[in-house]
Amino acid sequence: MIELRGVTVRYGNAVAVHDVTLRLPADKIYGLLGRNGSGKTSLLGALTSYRKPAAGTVLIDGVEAFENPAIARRTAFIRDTLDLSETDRISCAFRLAGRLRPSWDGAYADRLLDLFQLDPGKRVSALSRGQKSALGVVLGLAARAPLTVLDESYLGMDAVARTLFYREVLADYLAHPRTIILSTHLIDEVADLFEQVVVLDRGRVLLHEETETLRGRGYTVSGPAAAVDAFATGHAVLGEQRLGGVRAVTVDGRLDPAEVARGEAAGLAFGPIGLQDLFVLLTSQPLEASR
Amino acid sequence: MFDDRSPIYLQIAAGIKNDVLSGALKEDEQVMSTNQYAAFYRINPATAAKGFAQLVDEGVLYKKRGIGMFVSPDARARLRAERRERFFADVVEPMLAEARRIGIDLDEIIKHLGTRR
Amino acid sequence: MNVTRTLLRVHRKIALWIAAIAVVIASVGLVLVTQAGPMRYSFWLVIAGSIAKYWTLTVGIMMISMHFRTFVGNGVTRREFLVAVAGAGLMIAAGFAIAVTAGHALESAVLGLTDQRGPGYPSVVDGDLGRVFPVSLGYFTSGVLIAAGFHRFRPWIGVALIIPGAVPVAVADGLLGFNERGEQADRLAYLPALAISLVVTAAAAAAIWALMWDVPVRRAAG
Repeated sequence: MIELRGVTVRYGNAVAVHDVTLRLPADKIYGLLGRNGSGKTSLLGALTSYRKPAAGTVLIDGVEAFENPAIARRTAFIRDTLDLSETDRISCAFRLAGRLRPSWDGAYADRLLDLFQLDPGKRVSALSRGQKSALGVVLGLAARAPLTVLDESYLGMDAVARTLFYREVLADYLAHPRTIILSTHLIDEVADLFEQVVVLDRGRVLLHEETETLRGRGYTVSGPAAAVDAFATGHAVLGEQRLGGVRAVTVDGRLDPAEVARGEAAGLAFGPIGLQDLFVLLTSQPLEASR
Repeated sequence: MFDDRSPIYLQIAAGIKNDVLSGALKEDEQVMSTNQYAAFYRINPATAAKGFAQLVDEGVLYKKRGIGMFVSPDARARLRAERRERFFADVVEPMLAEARRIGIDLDEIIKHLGTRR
Repeated sequence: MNVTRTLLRVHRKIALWIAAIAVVIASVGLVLVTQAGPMRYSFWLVIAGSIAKYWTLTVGIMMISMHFRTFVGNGVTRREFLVAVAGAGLMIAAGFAIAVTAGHALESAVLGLTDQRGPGYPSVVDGDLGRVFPVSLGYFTSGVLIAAGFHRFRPWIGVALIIPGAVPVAVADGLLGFNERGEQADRLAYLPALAISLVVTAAAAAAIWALMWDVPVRRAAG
């Protein structure tokens, strides 16, 4: 069980993560969603002890995580800028991992190198952006760490490589269950993998829910402007569009069959919205509205 | 594979119910494990488990400890009965509403149904 | 999984290369210089003495600028890493003390046998072992300390901290240093000089600890 209690991360006077409290049960795949600058990387840095929070604590299985050797050994944090020596060859980086990480699986690492078409003899500095991303993924997966965190490291890969990555994460998670946290802003691609989702908005937790609960949240209502306005009062409106006399609003909430029947009778049309759209709308609300 | 705009576990449950109704899944037959389901459809196993739990709640599946999930012996009959109950409300009424909207009257419909007898 | 040993192992290959090159240069150098007459200084001390200082300084810097990130990235805590760095530094300094002394002894023996040991050639007893160790350790510690300053603070503060960071070098080399002719600073007797140098080095180590024990792990460039 990972617990963040009142975690605040500051860079000088700027607050990146504000008083975040989260409880993440172990052995699930989590998605950490948020726009650029929402504080995802800072939060993950605090969670993995790469950065000591300005306030609050991180506890893993009830023990304070910061500078705890047993916990550090069981944690893998792959950042977009790989924590490797540029001059090292991939095989050299693997050797180091093998010596320091008790859970490192070298054979699996080699299989993954094949999968992503990486040459172990190549130096890190000679890799393209996509190859570096793939290397990060290999290091993260082959570490088989009970807490594995990948911070958008895979976003440098092309769509095909990403698909291979998602399949591999799921396959290895099924074979070796562990806590996996992927931070991303490409929700549609990967939402099926997440059991729970945490959305960060401007340094605070906007929501923390099962992905399945999030699906089906939010819907669009469209039709004659007057009828739509009548419907919209009393609901939380996330966004709207107008085209002549037609208005379409996106509402936060779930469809109530009785409401739908009434609405359709009044000439309204109802439609679902996908996670990506919900995410975009929820995180583009003006500051006051999201409090 | 799944519509991303409604909960996947419901879609899974609906899919299995359809398989039971069509006979693709027989009574007392074992269904795929959550892990197999997850790997096959590329979803989180917890989602598959949620779908199965829903079906267990509804009596469509039952669990044999240590072995897996099986189709209930009376699942097909149950589902049929359920669907029959809702057939008129869920299928026929909307059809009639649409007919009204586009100006087809009841006699035309009855005539058409007669030719299908 | 011994972190110190792993840390040293990272440099093993290069160290062997440098050692091999040093031996070759020293041998060739000896042969060439003795053409002009007996040796009045130790060629080995020139080569090995420089390596014991400047390569060690570089390794100290690399500990923080390169290895900190990769070791923490593989599940090692900051404190474990710093302790391992201290251990590595001690072993490197000890290793150089032995290598410089042994090489010097060998060179002296060879020169003696070939009757090429000239006046002014430093005897081995002039303090190699007891001086190379603290001097090398001082260079290592300064390297680590200066790099730690850059890791913790903004670059211009790091630059400003170079001067205080170089204090272990200044003290160790100033009090205990010696050149290829065996000439020493002789400001203080050996034991007090050694004590002061080690105390200053230990203080620098404490400063390194203070800088690094809770520092955010910086990302690699780009």
